[in-house]
Amino acid sequence: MIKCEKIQKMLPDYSVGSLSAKKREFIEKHIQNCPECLKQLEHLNNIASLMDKMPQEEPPSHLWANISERITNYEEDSFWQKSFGWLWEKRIPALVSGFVMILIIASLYFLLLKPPEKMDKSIYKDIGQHTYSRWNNPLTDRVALGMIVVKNEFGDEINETNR
Amino acid sequence: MIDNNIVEKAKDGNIHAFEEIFKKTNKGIYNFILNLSSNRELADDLTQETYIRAFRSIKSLKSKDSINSWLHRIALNLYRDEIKKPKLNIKSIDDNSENNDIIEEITDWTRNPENIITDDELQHVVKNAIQSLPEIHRAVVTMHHIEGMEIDDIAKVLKTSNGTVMSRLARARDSLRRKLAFYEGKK
Repeated sequence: MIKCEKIQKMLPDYSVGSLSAKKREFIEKHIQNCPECLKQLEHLNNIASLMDKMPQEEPPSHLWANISERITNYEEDSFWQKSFGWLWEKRIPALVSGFVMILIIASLYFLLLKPPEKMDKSIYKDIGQHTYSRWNNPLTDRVALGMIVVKNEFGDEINETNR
Repeated sequence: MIDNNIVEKAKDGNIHAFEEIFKKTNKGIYNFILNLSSNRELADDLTQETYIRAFRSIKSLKSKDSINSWLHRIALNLYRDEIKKPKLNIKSIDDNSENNDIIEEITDWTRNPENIITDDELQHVVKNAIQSLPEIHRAVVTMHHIEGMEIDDIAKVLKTSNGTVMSRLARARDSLRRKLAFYEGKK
């Protein structure tokens, strides 16, 4: 009886042919003298045979028409995507974003960070004179500085007057 | 068996070649999904989706792969995605309450006073018994017994070993034997 239980546990694997030769031989030897285990094996095999004969249903006839329509539509879409899609999907947003960023930065630069007016090169000479004279007499510092300011503010007028 | 030339043409986008593949495989794919879902409408939708996905990605099919296994794999993945959707009102394969109805139907059959079963009735009973199996067993049984696929090909669909496929097949047969125990000797 214990042997039958052991055999019957192995019968499904035996019926699908997944047991080793040794186990197969063990089972085959047993079922020759055991009608109960043989009956169970036959039952398993009958079920397999029944399933093999199970008819398949016919698929609906509209299947291919629907599939080919969807495939064709997809292909038409993909033609436009292949031709121009890359502009929209990848390049255009990047270009637009880049352009907008440049505009924003340029606007900020011109509106907020207005560059200083170009300085008259002669001012460098004045600064040099001022620095030099400052070494010798601290009082000249203010005088020299005043000269620079006056020259920058009224440089053009002074130049015209000098002419 | 599908000619490699047809597959290669389909890979180049030839829709007529793809139609040939469809003609040779659609019955199997439709029945595969139908046996998994027990729902004709869903089998219809998912079969269409399987072939549309297949056409769009057929270039990824490796030459060593069988197109039939590949199509089954797409179908199985679509089915699994579908049953994950909470809104879907299809029979859940592992839902005990649903399975109870099927088991009840099998049990009802035992009340037949004549205790004789016709071939049609028997097929109906076996079909219901298959549908009461867990998905992993039902898929293997459907592919092997109903579609006649080889163990190797089933293993490729399920991305598992031949041993696992055979083990699932054995468990499925044993489970069906228990469910259909009363059938023995009544035919």
